[in-house]
Amino acid sequence: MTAETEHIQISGKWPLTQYRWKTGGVLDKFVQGLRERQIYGTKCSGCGTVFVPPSLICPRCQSRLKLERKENWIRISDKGIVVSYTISHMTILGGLKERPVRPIYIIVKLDDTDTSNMAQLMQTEEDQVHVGMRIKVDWPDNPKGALSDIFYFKPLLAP
Amino acid sequence: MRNIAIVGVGITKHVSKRRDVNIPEFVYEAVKAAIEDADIGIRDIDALVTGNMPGFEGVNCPELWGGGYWGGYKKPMLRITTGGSTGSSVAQGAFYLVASGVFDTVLTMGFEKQSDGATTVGLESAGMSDFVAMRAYGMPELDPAGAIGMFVFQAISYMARTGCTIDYFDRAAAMLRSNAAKNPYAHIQQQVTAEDIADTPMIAYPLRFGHTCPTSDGACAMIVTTKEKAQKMAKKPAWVNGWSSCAEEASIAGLHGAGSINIDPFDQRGCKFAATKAYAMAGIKEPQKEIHLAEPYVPFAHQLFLYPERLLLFNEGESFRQFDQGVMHRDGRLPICPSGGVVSSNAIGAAAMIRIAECALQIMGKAGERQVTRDVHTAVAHGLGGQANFNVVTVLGDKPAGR
Repeated sequence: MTAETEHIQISGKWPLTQYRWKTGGVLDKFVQGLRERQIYGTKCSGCGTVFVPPSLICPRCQSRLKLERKENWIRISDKGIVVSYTISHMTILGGLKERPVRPIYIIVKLDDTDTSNMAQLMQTEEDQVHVGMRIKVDWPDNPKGALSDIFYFKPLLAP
Repeated sequence: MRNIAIVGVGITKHVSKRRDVNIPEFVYEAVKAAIEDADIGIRDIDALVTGNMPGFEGVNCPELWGGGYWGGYKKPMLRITTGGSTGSSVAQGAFYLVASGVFDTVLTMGFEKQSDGATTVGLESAGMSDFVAMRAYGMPELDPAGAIGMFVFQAISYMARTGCTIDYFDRAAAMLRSNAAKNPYAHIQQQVTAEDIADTPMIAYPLRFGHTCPTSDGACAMIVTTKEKAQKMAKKPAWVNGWSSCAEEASIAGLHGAGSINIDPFDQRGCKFAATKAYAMAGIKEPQKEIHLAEPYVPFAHQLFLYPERLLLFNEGESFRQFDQGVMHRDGRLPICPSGGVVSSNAIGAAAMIRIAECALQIMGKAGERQVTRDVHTAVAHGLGGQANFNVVTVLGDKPAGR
């Protein structure tokens, strides 16, 4: 087999529309809250673990959340700490390429919660970011009730 | 429960592209080598356990194609897939089958022929439903750069909690790649220095190109059998004395993982849990003293320090200081990854099985040029998969466990 004939290309598309993944309804109240700049978490009635975003079934004790019970939903602060971070030098979209601007991705733990999420840290120099750094949500001017509303964080200078 | 042993091992030379063979033909090379190593015939095999990451090659039922090539004709066959830990989960599937008394001799194989597929597409297929759900709730576009996007957070946590620095990662990678230079099956066989590694570009701080694994074509197969048969088949079998695995909630990436309790991928409580159970099963009370060699799953350099600690071989935060004293080197007191590790050869479905196979070869004294200086009576192998939430631990010895 020669190098020329080695690759056979069959053009086509990956028909993702053929799949019908159910996204689940537990996030509806969560994203609605974001529109009012309010983060809701759920507290497991079995073991007390606080989830952000909410979880229907607690992976630790397997209790099932009763969505209609008010006491299972708690208001969460928009402040937290950096658990870990990275500065992304390269992008893999379309091959390994150097980035013109390096984003700082962080793992965030909001205050009084037991979970962590990935987010992006804005308004911060590369040498300023550190584990344990105090941060807060950088809310958009008009939150639209989407996960993107709480994807961007900024340093919390005054406690 | 019956005592069990590994009596044959077959590993293919790892390369980036094997374009002269198809998937079944490629895996057959490892199967044939394992059967020859055990000096048995395919008729001696009672059942098969296989596994890989099907999405990576785009062949979602590879045993449909290869079952006959691998000796599966008229025999029971199982497939197991758990991400990066696939190879070790597949092997443990065989351990359960033989130890339980269901079958006597089982052929187990793990493979990946990544040149046939698209690894990034495969990774996406593992998380696509999650991504679609996140997009449906308005998550912005993300490019966390593949698997490194998960493990890089672990590297930062390790540095922040222990005081370890990037130059240790450079030296760790240099040791692993130099070990691989003595391994005829390894993909990247480079006699390199820490300075060479430090010269490679940064991918995601603090991990450089030189700290990360390649994508490889590779396959591994092993023959697992009972005590009675092992003593006939092999002069020196590698006894599988303890094994365990632990699934935790996913960490970090994805919508379901995002609401995880496993808030810091540094913790790896699942690895400690699995190790504790596997040591107890093998009758090992003090792993720091009783284990002679380890093959942790190390696709990224910082894990050469993290996982030996989570396998309870060093105290937390101490392993990089032990590394300084040469403890982990091929001639050290406790050699770690004398094969060169996953950072040098990464064929996903094979990689975690090779950790067990390499421990077996060291115990059998068949590791050739990479055989460590010290005597190896006990060894521990580790596989890591999912979003760092599957940990699989296997303890091997040169004598059967007393049970």
